[in-house]
Amino acid sequence: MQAIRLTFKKLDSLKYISHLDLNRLFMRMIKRCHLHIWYTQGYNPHAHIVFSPPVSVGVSSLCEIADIKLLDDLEKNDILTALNSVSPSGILFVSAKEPVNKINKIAYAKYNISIKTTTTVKELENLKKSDRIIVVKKTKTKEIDFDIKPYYKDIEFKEKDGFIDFEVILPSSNDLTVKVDLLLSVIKDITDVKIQREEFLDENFDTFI
Amino acid sequence: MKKEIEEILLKVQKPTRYCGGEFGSVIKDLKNIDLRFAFCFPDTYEVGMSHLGMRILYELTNREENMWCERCFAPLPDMEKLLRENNIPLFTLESEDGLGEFDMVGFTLQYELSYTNILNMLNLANIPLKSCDRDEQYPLIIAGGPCALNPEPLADFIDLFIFGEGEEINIELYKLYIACKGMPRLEFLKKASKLKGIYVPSFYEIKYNDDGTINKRISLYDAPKTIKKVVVEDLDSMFYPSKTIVPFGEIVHDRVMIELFRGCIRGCRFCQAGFIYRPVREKSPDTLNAQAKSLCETTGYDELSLSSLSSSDYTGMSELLDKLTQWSVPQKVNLSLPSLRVDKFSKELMTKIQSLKKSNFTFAPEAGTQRLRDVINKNVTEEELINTCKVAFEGGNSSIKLYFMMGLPYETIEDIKGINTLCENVVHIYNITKTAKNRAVTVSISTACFVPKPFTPFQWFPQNKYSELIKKQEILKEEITSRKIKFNYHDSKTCVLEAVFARGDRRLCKVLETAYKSGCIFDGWSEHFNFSKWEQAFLDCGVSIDFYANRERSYDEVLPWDFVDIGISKKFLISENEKAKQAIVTPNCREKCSGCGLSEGDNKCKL
Repeated sequence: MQAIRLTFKKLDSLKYISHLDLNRLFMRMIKRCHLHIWYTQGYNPHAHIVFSPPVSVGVSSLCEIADIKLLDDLEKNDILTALNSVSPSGILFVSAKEPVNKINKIAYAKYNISIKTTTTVKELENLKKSDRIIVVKKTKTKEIDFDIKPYYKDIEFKEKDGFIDFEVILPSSNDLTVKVDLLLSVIKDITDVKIQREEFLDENFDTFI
Repeated sequence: MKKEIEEILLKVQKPTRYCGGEFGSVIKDLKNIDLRFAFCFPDTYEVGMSHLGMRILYELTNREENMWCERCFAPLPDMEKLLRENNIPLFTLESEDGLGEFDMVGFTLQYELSYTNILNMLNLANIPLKSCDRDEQYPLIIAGGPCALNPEPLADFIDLFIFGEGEEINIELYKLYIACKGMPRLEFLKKASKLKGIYVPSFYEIKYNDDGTINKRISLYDAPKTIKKVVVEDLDSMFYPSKTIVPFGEIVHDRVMIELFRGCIRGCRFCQAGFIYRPVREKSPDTLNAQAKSLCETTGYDELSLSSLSSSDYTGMSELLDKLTQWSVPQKVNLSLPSLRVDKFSKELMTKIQSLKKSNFTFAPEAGTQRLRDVINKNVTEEELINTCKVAFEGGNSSIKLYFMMGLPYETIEDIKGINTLCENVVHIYNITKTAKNRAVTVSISTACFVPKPFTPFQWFPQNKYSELIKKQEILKEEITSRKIKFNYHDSKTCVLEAVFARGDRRLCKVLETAYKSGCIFDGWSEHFNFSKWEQAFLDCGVSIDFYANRERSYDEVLPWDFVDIGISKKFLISENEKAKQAIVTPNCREKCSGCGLSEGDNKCKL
């Protein structure tokens, strides 16, 4: 049995599929290309796949991860070719490697965002001067006031073709996840938005491997 | 993806309904395409994608290099609102082009209550609703499917109907369309009306009697007086897809489907499907096994459904199950058999299905007493039902669902009360059966209101008035005293509307359009159905609901669908109705041929 870390892109219309749908898609892709993966041995056996933290519906991604345990003895390149031959366009497998760190070592995710808004860059910059930037964060049970300034203060806003582009690093771990939507809720009058997850980082802000 | 569509998708529930891109969906290069076909299902994505016929015809058309079949479903009101606000025409999932850009737009008519959605879909694509308001710059609007066999309530809106099985005629029709490109629409329609199974409603004028019944039909342009339904002769050599689209989200029937056979040997007198899909034609176990295997492999589905009417009548069942389980068990593929009959249910069959997945048991005795079951020719005895329940209980089940109909022809209060008696007997049999688990039994009853349908022996029968149906529900509700019997019923007037459109004529087109314009859509969905708007529409158009739903027709009345020849003789339907009145049963087609009319003619029955 070999542990395999699959990295894949989730683009185009595939950005609208939920995490649950993605899980189902993986089960079927694996069946379609005849890979044999390890099933959990409990009362209700199911294929064992560990995904990186879910990306929000509507957000595309270049860096999604799925860890599987493969029962076949296959070359990593062949696995990649097999999966790409049965994936819908929009899911593109870019690498199959041996995992180094466990998925729970992912601490942050970097996003590339492009927005169309009547808010000016100057106003966005001014916001950085506030002591705190409070937004309402919904958890499963309650709503809490959350200070988003630590993640907002280092953003560099650039204007390009009527859009404002910027990158942001947000927590994406078991302890704390901040969705891009929460950050965007401080910007008024957004008429168009494109978000792409670029990469995962570990707690030292190094690229997660 | 088109930018304007991308912008609205994030604002709707379940964007995967509208975004396409599923594995197996077909994208083609427009420069090689001579015919663009938009296959429209007038209900949601989840319902439409569960329909086997659409999947077959999608692959059938896309197998032709110069044709491109795409899909379109009815948008839910949240999406509809965004489409209208942003001036985006209703689009297909593949190319995202508006329906107006297609050569042909085809609707499948699976049930009458989807008709307003057809009008809404045309309107959302900026296509005029009526055929007479459309010239060559608009797509040809066509329709097929079971409800097309009484096409008249849609006669004003659809340019051309297809009667029967699409595998047989569709490609020929598309080829004719390509050959006629550039010709006036009328010229194409004249040529098309000469093809088998094709009906052009605008080529006929209807004359009515003073009492509102039909006097006669007048054909224009030498169009045929009667039109025969087309059927595929041999199912083994018929096209069947080896691949199919795999949706992302869960749909209603999310599994591979194979078709055991078409038609039904039973001849239950209320059942339209049992007559219109005749003659009975089976696929061989080898064909089915190969088709199932290839579909499971190419899609990655882990569930396989063996579909047909009354599946246990399939003669090769045990051979087929042996073949299937050889690979389905190791590959962890579950089998399901959705349509089992009470009388043919065996322990062996149950073990084979249950070894894979625990399924629920639902049986349909349809009527509460033996007399009424004989009236409707549902050849099931109480003893058989009890035995079947016993087998299921012994297998560890403690809940059973039973389906019944209310408002059946020649029904009495005893028959309604009999439903409860039957269920009490089922409870009793559970109590005296030794079961593995010591749980209390639940018998759930679901009742539906009977809707008389064309091409059945009950096509002349007046539907019970709504108030009578409600009274019958009340009687049954009061009759049930056991807490182990659960009675599910819905107080819905949809069955009245269904009865009107099922046996309607073209004077209903006006009502349909009026109701649609007053806001009726998704009439099959209780949360959208609005009967008072419908009543108003009937009133505004001066059309009587009772005339269509609650009027008894005489045998010599010209019925709106009489010009459609499905191969079954009217004489046979009349004799079946007369036998029903005396509660005389007709044996199934394998026991004895009862002479329905299919033993002669083109689409000969081979039983």
